[in-house]
Amino acid sequence: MSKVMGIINLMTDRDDFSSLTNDRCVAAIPFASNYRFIDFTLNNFIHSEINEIAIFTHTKSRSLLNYLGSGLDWGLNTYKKGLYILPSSPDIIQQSDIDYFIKNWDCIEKSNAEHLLISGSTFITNTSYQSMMEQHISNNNDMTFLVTNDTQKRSNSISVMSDVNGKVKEISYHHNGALFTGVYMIKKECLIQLIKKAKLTSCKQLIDVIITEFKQYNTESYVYVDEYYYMDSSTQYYHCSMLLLNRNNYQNLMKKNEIIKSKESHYSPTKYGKNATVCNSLLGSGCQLDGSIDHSILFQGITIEKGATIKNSIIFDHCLIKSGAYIENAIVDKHSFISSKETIIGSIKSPILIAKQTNKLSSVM
Amino acid sequence: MKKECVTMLLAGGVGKRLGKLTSNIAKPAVPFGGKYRIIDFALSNCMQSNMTPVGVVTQYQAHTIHQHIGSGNAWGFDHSKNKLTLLSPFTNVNGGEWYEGTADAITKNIDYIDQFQPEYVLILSGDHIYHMDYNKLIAHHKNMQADVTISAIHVPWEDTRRFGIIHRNTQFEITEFEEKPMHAKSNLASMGIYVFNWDILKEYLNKDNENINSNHDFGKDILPKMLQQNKKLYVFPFQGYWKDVGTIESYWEAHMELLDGEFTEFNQDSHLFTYTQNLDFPPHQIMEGGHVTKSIVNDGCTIAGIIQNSVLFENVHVNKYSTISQSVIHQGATIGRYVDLERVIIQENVIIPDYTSIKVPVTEEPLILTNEYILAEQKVGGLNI
Repeated sequence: MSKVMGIINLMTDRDDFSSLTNDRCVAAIPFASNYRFIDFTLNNFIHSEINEIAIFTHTKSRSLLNYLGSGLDWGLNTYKKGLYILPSSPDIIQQSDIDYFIKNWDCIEKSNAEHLLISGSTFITNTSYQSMMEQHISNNNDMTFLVTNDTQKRSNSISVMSDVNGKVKEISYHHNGALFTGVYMIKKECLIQLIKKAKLTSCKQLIDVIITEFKQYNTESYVYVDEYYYMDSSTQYYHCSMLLLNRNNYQNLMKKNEIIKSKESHYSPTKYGKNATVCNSLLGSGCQLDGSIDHSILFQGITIEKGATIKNSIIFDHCLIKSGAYIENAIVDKHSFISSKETIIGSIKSPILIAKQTNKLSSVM
Repeated sequence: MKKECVTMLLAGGVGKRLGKLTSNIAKPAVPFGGKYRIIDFALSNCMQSNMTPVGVVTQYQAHTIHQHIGSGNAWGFDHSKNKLTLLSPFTNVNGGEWYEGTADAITKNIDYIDQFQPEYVLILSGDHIYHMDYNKLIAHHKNMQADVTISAIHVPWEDTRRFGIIHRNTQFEITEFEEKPMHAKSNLASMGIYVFNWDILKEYLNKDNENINSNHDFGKDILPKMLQQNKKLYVFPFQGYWKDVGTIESYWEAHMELLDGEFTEFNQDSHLFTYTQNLDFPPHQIMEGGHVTKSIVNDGCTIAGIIQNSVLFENVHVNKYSTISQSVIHQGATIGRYVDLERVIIQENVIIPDYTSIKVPVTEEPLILTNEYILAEQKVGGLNI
């Protein structure tokens, strides 16, 4: 859809991810063995045939920029359109995505798109927004909000009340109505007017301007009925990851007809040793596995030695788990080294987090 | 646009002895090692040795290679900078003809090579599994002031009849060739990797082109002729793993050697890696009942059965109560329940029905399972061999 430009606004991602976001933004958090959060947003945009995508990278973007590169792996390295990476700068007002829009307006203005599809990176699903886009355009809406009728309540989330026809009656921070997913469509014209109005008030966030002004516009909601994962904390991250070990959940997210593209890695396939006992687990490529792995998620390039035990845990890229190590209910971040004497046991409710590069520098310096 | 060396990668081979594995794809495009295709090893070596430009000569089922290579960017090549060119038979003012032999494939591309005005031409085959830094070969060629240098390796005596065998004196100088001898006097085999001084090669190619009795083949015609006319032919003794997966048995065996760690996709000594096209499959899943030992498993697989000493390509599904051992399973195959397989090679997207039991004894060649085979066997009642 050339009429629509995608905006991935990372400033609105809530971050209670503890050491998982020590030196990466929420969008760059690894998920489901092969992916980062942003892959799902990017792929949903691509499945919606949006070929012009701008990213407000906001803070801690090193890992994200390294991951995205030129956008080649998602087919976004085109001469025209493609991926626009819009990094933060010191003169952007703190926590103000409105200012982010203003400072980068040239990029949005030059696009001939009439509508913007805006999303954060924490609504994780595998879909196409095409039917929402069609509703938005054919009903001549100014704004269309993607909502879910999920009963599970989230703190600080925004709810949307609509009438039977989908016309939005109320948007608020109170829990009454459907949950807002963070994904919405807005007419470019409408966005300009809202930003102009914001300048007259003290509002920093676009969503706050929308909450006060939406009644003057043609605003509808669109109900999302498929499975999704929403995370804003490390505990939720652990919980959602473990849900993927259920075969139906896995197949739902990795639907065969909608391939999820991620950054190309040149790992060889995973090798299992003669002592390996692996069960109920999700595993990336490039691993060398000779230990015992149960009900766990392993990313790429990991070595698990003979006699090491991994249970109910998540192990990120390039970790080395030595023979004799025992890990249960834990998340071990990238490039960590767990020696043979270590026993790491967390609880399912609050898994232990081992930060990136644990024990690495101490052995070098 | 002068270049010291032009590389010609021969990828037009039919690979007849691979049977059904090459019935609709070129031999260099045959899948290998759970992720790769045979040509990936030579292509990865070329790029990491900075051997550009590379001309990839294709003919048999050329589209299978062209599709795999694409723009070449998976190996770090770039069409736009003339680093990699696909050379299929083409027409010219005299009409057009197929490539008649390995030498003829080069003769018909003399213009392609000439535009770079090279000193040397490196001839490679897209049929072999190995890591090699070709710079060492070129340096040896220069040191010896040779006209031709042939890379060679000692093979088991029983395999000598499959190769071109080389005799040499102590000075690396080649004294005699035997093409696929029944009773070889040496076990030093040509790897099909040659460095030629381009002016000399061109002269011989042009002469050979006019000889109507010639097979237009390097091993049968060009090299013996050069030896006969006292050109300086030297051998480069190669150290390391090299495998010609020319038969079903050797194809299966190379996979078992991969599992034994005799060959790895990344070579620690030379720091050479193997690259290929990525296919965007999701992570693989080992489910309840799944047990995998001494095996290779790639993305997209879901496994609920027992896998031993086997190589699984992308997107293979193995259902409960099934056991697979010493087998190679290509992309997209599905194995039903209560299946028992040993020493088989399963082709792409083949569906193995429940209760199939096929165990090939070690004395026999591993069996290739295709959809046609499964259908035919079902008609005569059951798949228990």
